[in-house]
Amino acid sequence: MIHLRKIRKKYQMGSRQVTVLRNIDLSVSGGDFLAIMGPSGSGKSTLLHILGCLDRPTSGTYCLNGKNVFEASDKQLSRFRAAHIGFVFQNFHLIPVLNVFENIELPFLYAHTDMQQPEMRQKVAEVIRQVGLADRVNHRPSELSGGEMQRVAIARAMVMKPEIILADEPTGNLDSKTGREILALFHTFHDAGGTIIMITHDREVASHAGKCIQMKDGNIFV
Amino acid sequence: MFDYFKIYIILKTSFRSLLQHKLRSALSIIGIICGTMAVLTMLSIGEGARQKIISQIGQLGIRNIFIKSIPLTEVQKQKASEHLSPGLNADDAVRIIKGIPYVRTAACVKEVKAAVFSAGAELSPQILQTSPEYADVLNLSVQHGRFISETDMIQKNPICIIGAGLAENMGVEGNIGRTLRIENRVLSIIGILNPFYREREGNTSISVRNYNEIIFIPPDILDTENDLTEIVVQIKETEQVIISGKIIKRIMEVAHHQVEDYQIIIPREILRQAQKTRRTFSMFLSAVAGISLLVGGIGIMNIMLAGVSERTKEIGIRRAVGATKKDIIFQFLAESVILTSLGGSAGILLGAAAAKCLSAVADWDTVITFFSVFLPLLMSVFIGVFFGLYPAWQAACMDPVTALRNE
Repeated sequence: MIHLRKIRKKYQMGSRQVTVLRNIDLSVSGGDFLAIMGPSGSGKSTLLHILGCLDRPTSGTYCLNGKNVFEASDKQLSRFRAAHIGFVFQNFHLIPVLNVFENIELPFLYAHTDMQQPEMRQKVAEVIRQVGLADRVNHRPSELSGGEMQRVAIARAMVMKPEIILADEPTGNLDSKTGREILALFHTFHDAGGTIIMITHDREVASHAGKCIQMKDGNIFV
Repeated sequence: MFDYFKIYIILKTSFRSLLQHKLRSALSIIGIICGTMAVLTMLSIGEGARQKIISQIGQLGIRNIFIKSIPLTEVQKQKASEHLSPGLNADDAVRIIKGIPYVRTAACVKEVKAAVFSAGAELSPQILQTSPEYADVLNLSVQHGRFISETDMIQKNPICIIGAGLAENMGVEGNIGRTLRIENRVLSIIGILNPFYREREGNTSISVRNYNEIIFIPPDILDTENDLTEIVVQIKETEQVIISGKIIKRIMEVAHHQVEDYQIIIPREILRQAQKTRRTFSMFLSAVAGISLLVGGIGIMNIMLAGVSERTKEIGIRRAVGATKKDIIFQFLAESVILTSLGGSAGILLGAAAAKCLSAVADWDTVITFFSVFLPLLMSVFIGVFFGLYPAWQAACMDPVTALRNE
């Protein structure tokens, strides 16, 4: 499903060049639950952004479902993200002026589906029930606890029924009990056949994943 | 395809973002409010002035040319007699009718100063000695009876026609068949004019007589030796008015031996002047509106740029969730257009109020038309798009990854 070949990523930081990723080769099959571990600055997040089509590598190829992603235009990548990829971030990244329902509804605004409004609302309501926030629908993010915010973020990532969820330290800002609840939601998605790629610092969290890779200085160690 | 659901969500989100900073949003649209207010007020003043002059000129008659005698100073009188100028007289009218093929008809008018009595009471209307053509040329009509006829002129009938207001003041004595006395002549009333709506005096050179307080009498009833006060010439077609005016000027110059004891007034010429003035006024208005809206627009751009940099993270989130650059542009444009059209609407309301106040307090004529509401509204929307485009473009071009890292 996902094939990365010789992915390199360099940043220009003022006058010096920083190489964040060197020669990354990685394959992920559909239905995998992959954890990426490694110290800060090892390039995990950059790799995740590239996997999520938010960023482009300096060189190398990225095949997703047999298509070379980086031949696509910015618009096509955006559409692709909307329909096939869900993001979950360490800092939740919810839009503060929107309530729970509206935050979760957001992907529908950008995915070009033939779905009618009642159907969309039904899907949003369904995913809200799945993450157990039915009584929080009209709350703004500022009125929620960390765990609740992350559940909103997961609901937003799952609402379009994407093939892949990319999570960047989803439990990093949560206590271990809440973290386990979040991981349980990931398992539900995984059990339904979804692919998850998750960055984490925590060995225990990583142990939930089927596979685990280690990164250091822009390289992968298995 | 137009997706109303999406538009609804975008508008709703935009409104919320603007409400997050109520004071800031309100302050940023003051420029737009002032600009649209100025445009609407000035448009309605211009329109009011235009309608007034058109209606005044309409009462004078667009095909008419007025030749008025001017009261002369002693020195001028001296000169006039040296040059043997006869003063404005009936011969001038004959010369004009015979000399210009475009002339349809002409009426001579003489103002008579005399005391008027009705049932013992003294009245002070204006007395005009004139011919039957006058009613036709100035489009006057009677509500009862008739106007002066050719027969009245030939037979020198002792009759008069009175204005509606005068008739009302005179009560029973103001009916047809009653009589009134001018100096020592008793005249019977044979006609009462229709009530006349008179525009307030604006420009003295085109003042209209008050036909409500007037008495018309045929010539040669009273002994008067004065010159004519006025000759009104009516031209057959509107297009011939200007050229006829030039010929009349020449005829009069010759007849009066270059003495300017008369003045030629051409309503059509005045209308053209007014239109020219209006064009100048419109240009001035556009400049004022342009400047204030430009300043207002820059204010909007400033606030939108601040909004974009504050909401960098939100832009990153939207991009991650699947928004294209176009979606981001549309989101921010929606916000700036909402902002400016709110300002525009407020400006229109204030401008309409200002126009009404000017009418009430300063006694100016203001007329609010569809155009004078629509133009400033359209301008405010256009400004929202124009000045919102750069900030929106900046938002769209942000790198999603950098935007997401922004805290």
